[in-house]
Amino acid sequence: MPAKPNGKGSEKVRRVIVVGGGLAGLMTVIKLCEAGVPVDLFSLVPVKRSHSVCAQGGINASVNTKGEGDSPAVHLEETVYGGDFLANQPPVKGMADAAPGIVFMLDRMGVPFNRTAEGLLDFRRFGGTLFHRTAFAGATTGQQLLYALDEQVRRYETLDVEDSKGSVIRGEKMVRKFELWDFLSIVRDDDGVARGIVAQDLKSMEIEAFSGEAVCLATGGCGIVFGRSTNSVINTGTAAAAVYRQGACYANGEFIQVHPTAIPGADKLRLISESARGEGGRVWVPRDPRDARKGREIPEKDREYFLEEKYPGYGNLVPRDIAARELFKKCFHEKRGVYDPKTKKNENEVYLDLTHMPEEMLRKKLAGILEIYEKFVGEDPYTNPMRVFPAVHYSMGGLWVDFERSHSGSLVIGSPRNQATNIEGLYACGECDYQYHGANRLGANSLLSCIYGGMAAGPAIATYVKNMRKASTGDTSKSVFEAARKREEDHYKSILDMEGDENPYVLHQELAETMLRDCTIERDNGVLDKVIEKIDDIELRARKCGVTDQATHANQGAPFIRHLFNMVVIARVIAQGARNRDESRGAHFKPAFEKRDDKNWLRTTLAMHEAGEGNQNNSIKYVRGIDYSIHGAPMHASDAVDVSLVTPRVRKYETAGAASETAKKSDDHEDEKSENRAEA
Amino acid sequence: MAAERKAQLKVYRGDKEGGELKDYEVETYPGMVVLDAIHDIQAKQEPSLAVRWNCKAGRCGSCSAEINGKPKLMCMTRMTSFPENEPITVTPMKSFPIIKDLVTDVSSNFRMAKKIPAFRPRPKEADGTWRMQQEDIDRIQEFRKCIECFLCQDTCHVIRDHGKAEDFAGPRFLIALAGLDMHPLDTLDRRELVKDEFKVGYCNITRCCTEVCPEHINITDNGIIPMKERVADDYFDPLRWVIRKFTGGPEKKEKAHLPVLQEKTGSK
Amino acid sequence: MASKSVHLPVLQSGLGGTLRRDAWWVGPAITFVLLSAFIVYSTWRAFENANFLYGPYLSPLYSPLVDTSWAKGWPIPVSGAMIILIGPGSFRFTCYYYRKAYYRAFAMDPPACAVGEPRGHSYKGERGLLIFQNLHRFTLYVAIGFLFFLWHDAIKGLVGWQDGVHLNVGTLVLTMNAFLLSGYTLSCHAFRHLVGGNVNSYSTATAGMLRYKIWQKVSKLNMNHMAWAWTSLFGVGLTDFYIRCVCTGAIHDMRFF
Repeated sequence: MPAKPNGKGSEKVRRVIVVGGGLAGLMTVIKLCEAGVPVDLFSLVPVKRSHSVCAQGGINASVNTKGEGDSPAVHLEETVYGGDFLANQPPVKGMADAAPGIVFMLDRMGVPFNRTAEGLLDFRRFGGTLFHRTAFAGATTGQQLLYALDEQVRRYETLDVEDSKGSVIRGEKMVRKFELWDFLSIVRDDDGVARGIVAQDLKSMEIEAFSGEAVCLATGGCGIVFGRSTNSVINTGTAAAAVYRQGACYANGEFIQVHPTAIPGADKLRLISESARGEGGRVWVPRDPRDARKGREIPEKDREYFLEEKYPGYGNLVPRDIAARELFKKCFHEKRGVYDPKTKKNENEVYLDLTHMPEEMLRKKLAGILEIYEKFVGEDPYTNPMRVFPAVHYSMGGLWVDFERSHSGSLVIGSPRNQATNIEGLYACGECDYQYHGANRLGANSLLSCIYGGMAAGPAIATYVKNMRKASTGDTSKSVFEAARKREEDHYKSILDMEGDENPYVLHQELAETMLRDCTIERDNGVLDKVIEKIDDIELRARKCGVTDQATHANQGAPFIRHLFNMVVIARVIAQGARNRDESRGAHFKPAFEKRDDKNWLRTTLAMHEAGEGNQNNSIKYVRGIDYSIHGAPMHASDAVDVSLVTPRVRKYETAGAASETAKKSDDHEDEKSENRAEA
Repeated sequence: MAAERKAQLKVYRGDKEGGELKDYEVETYPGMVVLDAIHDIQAKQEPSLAVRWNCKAGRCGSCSAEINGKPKLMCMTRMTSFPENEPITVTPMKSFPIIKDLVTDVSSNFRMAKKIPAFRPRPKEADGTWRMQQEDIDRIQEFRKCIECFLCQDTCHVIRDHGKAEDFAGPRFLIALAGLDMHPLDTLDRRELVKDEFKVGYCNITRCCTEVCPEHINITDNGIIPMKERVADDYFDPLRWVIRKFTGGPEKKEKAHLPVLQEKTGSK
Repeated sequence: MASKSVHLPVLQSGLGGTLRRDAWWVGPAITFVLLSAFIVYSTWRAFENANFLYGPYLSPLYSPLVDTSWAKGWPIPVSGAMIILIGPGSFRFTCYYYRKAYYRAFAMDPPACAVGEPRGHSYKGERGLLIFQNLHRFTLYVAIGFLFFLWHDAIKGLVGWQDGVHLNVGTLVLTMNAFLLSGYTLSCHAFRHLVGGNVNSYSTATAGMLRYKIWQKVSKLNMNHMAWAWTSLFGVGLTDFYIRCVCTGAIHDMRFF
């Protein structure tokens, strides 16, 4: 058993708290340990069960093994372009520059990446680019990465902490892991600085406060707000919502990525990775909407490859927002989905076809994905075109975090501003921050942004902590922790005492259905007003839930109600943000405002929470800038997007190479490229 | 069309004090898996039913249980794979201490994982690359498919019937060790540990681990047996011993040691 | 609805304790019957010490011919088969397939997956005498040696006649026997390890790619090791039985040419 925490954290060692055991969290832990900072790692599930394991396709890095003229500069440009210019560009540049180094590092950690005939790393194609830029390990890249990082963290779990003189502190290891703990809130001292967290042990249901010199959230996305999604059930966004309620700013919440290809299912949509298209998969519908033949029996001339026809430049590998919209249009507006002769209806499905590819190659590179399809649909995807439909997949928005720009336009690694939220001492990275993807994320950039986020957060926190120790502002009185613990315990007890007649699972279902129907691919202001009304309604009803599970250990009903409260909060941020933004940009699409509006909306949505008193609902205050401080030094950031590296231009994927103009230019700048590589 | 039909379930309810099988009835629909049925019960009939699950796509390894006595992932087991009109029994994994209902404490596995000396690659080549051929890592990729659902540990009789969870690495960690031993660029020799600490000799090749693996990893043939043969190379083969005495043997990797652990294993 | 509660020792242990509803006992039962039958038959044949030689035919249980005249006057009769069977017998005893078969069917350790074992017995794995399970490769060397004799016997069954070349049913039976035993022996896990399984980096090892290719071939054979194990076992039994029948005159050895 780990030493029992009592609000002081560990007895002899000051630690930083990392919440979340996915890729971003583990990378942060590793970077902190490398800097000599001991860590307490909290995770809602055992770390290897984190949602990172579900990432299938790969991780982007412009290593340019195939000599296509790819470079970090092109990677930067395509990421920014794919994100419709909403991302601050310095962090993206930092990420693109570091990417090759990250992949090499993972390779060194033992990730079994697929290889080329020369024994070098193999790369596949992904959406929004014409380059082979995605390193992969079969169809389970996320899992392989997570397991490799876990192995590193496990090493630190067995490594002793040393004091400043280099002697071992007995009984203290660099990393202590708290698995199956639910994060409830941060502990803020009298100055509002984050000094620790309150969390609940989901086995014993005990609530404890832990002190930490800084706190880093790496708690992932919020797909479960939409119910049916490709996300794992833990991705409720509850941790991000909790700190948002405590004063952290939430940015760009309205940008929710819908993945174009998933297996339709009753309550969970299982992802068919973009790598299926990267390896040659083609999307089509029958030309005749009443075509009752089986997919494989429909000859070539009767198929409409609508993505390839409309976007000859990028074809099936247009970015996800565009692909998802086209699929949606085919099924909902044109009613051209696959015809089911049994129901005599055009189902909301299109074909994703791999049958023209050699089976042996597919088995080598995509077996994991195709197995899942076969299992759940009962059809052999090697001989039958798969039937797929879009599903909620990723949240580009998240906790607002800062960055410090270097002279070259990249990040100053080690600056305490990187990945810092507007609450001093609270950091965020991974999907729960908003930094790297703008209005739409490119495939295989998420694993990269998670790892890079951790690589930026770790040194930032280490610097923050070291400066703090110098200023010796460390000690926080015990009563602050006790008060925070008491507050959460009272809250939990009040949930257990709820005696209303609302069923929290049904409420979640109602919320999810509304959000999924009206707040995803196409948005309309009139409908969004109704969505917000619905959220108001659910927020009130959620206070009247009944809890029948009074179990004192492994209780699942009561924590679910807590998560539901937080999901409603996030839903409001998403819906209200969408309502406000009268333009179309990336994943946010309003038919009534079809164009991107850089004049008014090339800016980050910054949402601040305002709690409703008594029977009033919560509301949101939108701000145009953020002021916060680090160790007394005032910091300011406005909502203007830093577009200093790639000038915004209209996003078009009809012609090949539209997203990568740098590639053409940089052919003469070979030196510059290798310099970038060295930096990484 | 699949008409709506009802399915009977018997689900274990209880904790370490004891428990019982309780009967439930749920409506089924096409594509339903056992985990859906459990959720249905949890949402509509028994909110206090404890079950762990997460990704629902057979990737996270959380929802392991025994369905009609067989270790399986609930999220990957279709309701239609059982005969109609017969109740489906769902019980927690037997080999691990129960926490509540279908939730078990699998932490013995995490303690075992901590004991494995981590991958330590050799330095990069002169040209800065780090080459491996696909055929060299095919084997390792198979083992790396493991999602740590621990169904193999659950079914392994050394752990299940003889209670050696803290003493024997079990199939999951034997393939992890095999993957490290087979890695073309690793520089540590863990074979002595495999023999003496991870106790590969406990395995008597009854192959249940391979039968239950949801990732279809050929645990026994590709992992454990090659590992046993490799240990035999170094520690049981008298002929090789003699050859080593005379020739000095092939280049040796550095011997690995157990990491020093803070917690005593088996304290819980 | 949740109404009826059944009180029973839910998570059963003890011999046969399981919630499995399929006929898990069928597999081990069949194994038990077949293996027992073969053991009984071969033991009986080993004691019979007759009816194993007919023309150029030699029963696989007695091949190669061993002179046992030195054991004359011993309290129990010693036959060539008794000595010979030690070789293939130990190969099969330490075989990675048969271990599953007999541990499940005979030792019931465990009888089937997720089925309880007899209570109260201790289990130590490969300890004591069982440490010899680790020397499977040496029994493999012996088994490979036997293959030469058996192929020799098969060829002799073709050309070993006094009046030139014959193709009889017996010739085919002996050839089939040698073929099946070759399949079984060369699909052995220890063989797979020795030909290339022990290599970590095929791309850099001496003759690495050759070994990789051989290893892949053996791996393919190895996937069906169980099938080879059973068919070759029947092969041996039937071959011996055929020769015995020919010896006793129960069957006429038909000649094709």
